[in-house]
Amino acid sequence: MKEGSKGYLALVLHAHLPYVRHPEYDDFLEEDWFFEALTETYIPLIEIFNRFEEEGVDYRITMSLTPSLLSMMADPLLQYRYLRHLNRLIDLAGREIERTRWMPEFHELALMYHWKFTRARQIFLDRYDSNLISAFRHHQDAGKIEIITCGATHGFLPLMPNDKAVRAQIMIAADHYEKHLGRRPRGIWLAECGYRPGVDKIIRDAGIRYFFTDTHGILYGEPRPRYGVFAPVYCPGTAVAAFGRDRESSKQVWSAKEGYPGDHFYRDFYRDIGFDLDYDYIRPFLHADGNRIHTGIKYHRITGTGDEKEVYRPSIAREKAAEHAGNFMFNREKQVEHLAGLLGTKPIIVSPYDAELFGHWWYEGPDWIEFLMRKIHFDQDTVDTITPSEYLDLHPKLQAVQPSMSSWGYKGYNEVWLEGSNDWIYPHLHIMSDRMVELAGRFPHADGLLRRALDQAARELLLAQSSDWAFIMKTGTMVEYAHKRTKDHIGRFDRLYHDMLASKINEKWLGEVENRDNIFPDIDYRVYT
Amino acid sequence: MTKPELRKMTKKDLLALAKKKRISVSESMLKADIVDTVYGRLSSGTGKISNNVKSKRVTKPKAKAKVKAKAKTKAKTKAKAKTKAKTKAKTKAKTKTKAKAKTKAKTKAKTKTKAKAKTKTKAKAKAKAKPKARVKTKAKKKVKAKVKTAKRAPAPRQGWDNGRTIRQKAVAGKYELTAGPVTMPPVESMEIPADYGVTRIVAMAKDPSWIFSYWEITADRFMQLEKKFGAEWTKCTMALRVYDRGAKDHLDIGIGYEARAWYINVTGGGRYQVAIGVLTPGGRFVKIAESATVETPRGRASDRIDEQWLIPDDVYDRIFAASGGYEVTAGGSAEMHKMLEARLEEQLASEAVSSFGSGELMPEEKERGFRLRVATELILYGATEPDARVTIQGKVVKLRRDGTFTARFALPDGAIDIPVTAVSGDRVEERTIDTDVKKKSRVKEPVIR
Repeated sequence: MKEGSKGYLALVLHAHLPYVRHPEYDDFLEEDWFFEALTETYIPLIEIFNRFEEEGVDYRITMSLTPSLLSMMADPLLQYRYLRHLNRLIDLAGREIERTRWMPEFHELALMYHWKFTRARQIFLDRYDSNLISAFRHHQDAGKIEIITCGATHGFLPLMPNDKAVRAQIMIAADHYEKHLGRRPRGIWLAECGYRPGVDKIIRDAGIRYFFTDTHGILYGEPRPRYGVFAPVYCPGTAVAAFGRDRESSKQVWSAKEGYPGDHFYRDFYRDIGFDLDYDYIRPFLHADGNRIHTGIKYHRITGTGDEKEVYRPSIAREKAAEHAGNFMFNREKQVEHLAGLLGTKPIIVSPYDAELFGHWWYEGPDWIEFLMRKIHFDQDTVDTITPSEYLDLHPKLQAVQPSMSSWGYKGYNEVWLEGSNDWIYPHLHIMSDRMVELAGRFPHADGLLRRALDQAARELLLAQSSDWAFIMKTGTMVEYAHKRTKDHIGRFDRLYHDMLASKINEKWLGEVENRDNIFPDIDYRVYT
Repeated sequence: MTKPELRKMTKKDLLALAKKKRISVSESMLKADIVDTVYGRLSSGTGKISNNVKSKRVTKPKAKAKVKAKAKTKAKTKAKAKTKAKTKAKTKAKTKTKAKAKTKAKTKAKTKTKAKAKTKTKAKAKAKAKPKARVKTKAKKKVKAKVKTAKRAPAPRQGWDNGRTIRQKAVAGKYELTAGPVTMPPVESMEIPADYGVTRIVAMAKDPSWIFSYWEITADRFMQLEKKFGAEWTKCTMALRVYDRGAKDHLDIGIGYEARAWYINVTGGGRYQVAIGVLTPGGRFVKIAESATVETPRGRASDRIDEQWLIPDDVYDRIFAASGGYEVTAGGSAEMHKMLEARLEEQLASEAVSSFGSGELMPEEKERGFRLRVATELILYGATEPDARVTIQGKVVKLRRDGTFTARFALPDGAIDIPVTAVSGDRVEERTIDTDVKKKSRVKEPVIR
């Protein structure tokens, strides 16, 4: 802690991907989501944490690693496929080095990508033996980052009327967290910041101390929050703390006009050699269907409106990231000074973002985080970075306010996940929840094949509940996959349910389903009792 | 041979053995996997029959053999075989092989122009002004091609990782991996139930102003109702009755028989229950099912002030403002949406994008405008003796086993001199061929008709 600091900044990175793993295919397009996030976001973040450690930079970052993401990181098949993916990228980047020999600006970039991919492979394989969870765990144990959990499969809780379904999402997550990170989680990121009154009771039962809501979750709370969103509140009756999102800092990163990632010197996301280069040349690096895809090798900067894009210059972009980090810090100093006077106490600025924003979407995002944390550590004394747990230890006396139902989705409530494109899923999801509870009640002490079927039914329910599917249906890209996944899990659950009631469980089929949807191997269906 | 014996062999020897036994393995596989595969095949005996005639029949190639050299090669293949099996051909110069396909290969160094639209470009014409690469291959040469069916390496069945970590597997082969383990049958397409045979109605809040409600009424229940109402039934209508539990009031919505769900407009901060039922001509509502109580969020700040945490109104107002309380919409990130939209407008490639974990990220695809992009690449290829050392512009090029080589370059505007030098294996002889390439492309003013 800095002597005489006037307030706190809690940077929160929400790291999540839906559970996508398809052993039945040799390669699978949607698995790339995970691979790209590893290369562009998670590995760069780990490298930053490592550098901070080596150089003694004191910092605090809160990171949610969702159970489905952790499960993918720990899965041998996906680890193996990631390595294969990286090998291909390294091969492609190597060819690019040759191909661009007569174009120095591009050549330099090809060398950069080759180096970055090779480096990612080193980190992944040589340093962490292909399991990156150990890296995050290390930095948590060192007291610098705080890892929090999330609903087991990122289920959107406001649209889950059955409390037992909510309970399962949270309890399974907490146990899973403990298994992988060696202690109980202290905080939870509610999927999409989706809160409804009552969820806090279940959070408390899981031994978790705090969660986050969007700004209006706190601001529209009952009674009025004395400190606005600049201090957490306790939920009445449960004393679980709720931290509200600060709008000003999130706008600075996201604003259409002055948002950092839109800077013309930053790398352009959409111009990718997967689309730009000769088809025959790029074909070996595409998937079996032969459709052009993003490879991750991109040579242009945002430039401005219009067709013509300038060549990306990493050194200039890095300068920009430093400049933007400086600007962000300066604004937080001013904000904290202003609020300290207004509130009469130290404010906490909670700035949550999608982790994937940094690196995957905003290529220079990890640089920005690194500069920001360094600058806060070395260049000023007004703001301290802090984790929510530390804050609660320092400031245990809080106002009791019932937060409002809210989410950080478009318009602030449930609309993104409940509208014409996706509302058809809820009759299924709800009856599955009810039936799961019914099954758990009917078979309280199952073993053998029945036990396996019950556990699998729970997995199918959880996987179907991923908010990602409804989100994809709404956004209209990759919809077919979201439909398929939802229907597969609904259908498998339905078959399991009827098979169990009829005492006709098909062991061979069950085995196949267990192999495919293998998330949470230690699940105990009785969590639904 | 036993497994340990196989393990003692070098990877090279293993590959040779596999080749001899006609076991399909590839060089890129890990040694351990080659051992597994070879052992599996040898012990099952399938490896042994591979030398007899039968197996050759399986591999009858069709004339369409793709010559693997990536240089532009006009290949005429005459093969007596008639099966249409997809075949991969490896050209092996000066190698006697038993395959019956003959490949006449004409190789010409040629720059390759890729135009993304069907437009004739000046660049193309220019580029055709052939570079004078007179590497050996220009002479017509008969190349005997060995034709081989593309066989997949058998996927190891169970426990493909055998308890070894990826690292242990990968390190042995310098990060190289085998083909992925495909172990499962393809997925059945699941049918989802149309309904569940349960009469019920469920209501959920979508936001302060809307409730979403859906329902199911079983056929049995309908029949009961029909019986109950008798002749009156045809005059009855289906309706939702929305109870406002705060205002102790209700609202009826006629819904017809087809609807399965409804969005209901309400006011924020209320408590509601939705019932589905039959409305008789006399105005009587006969309830079929009723939902649990739903609370809608208030959608604005509370009026209640906490007396234990009392502050002056104007101070609270400033805190509320600093928290962003007066900004247009609560939560969400319309701004973010706009930014991505702005960036997407600039986008040319139309790849779909999606992100997870955030209702914030909602990129939308924009209609793309008309476009034309043209780029030029130059492919330089040739052949020499397999043991020679070849450089292009002073940089060493990797030769294929047969002594051929290919290099591919993005070709910018301007003049480029490309010396290709080969030094013989015994270092006695050196040959150089210089190729000069000039390229210029001009962008003309668009014509709008």
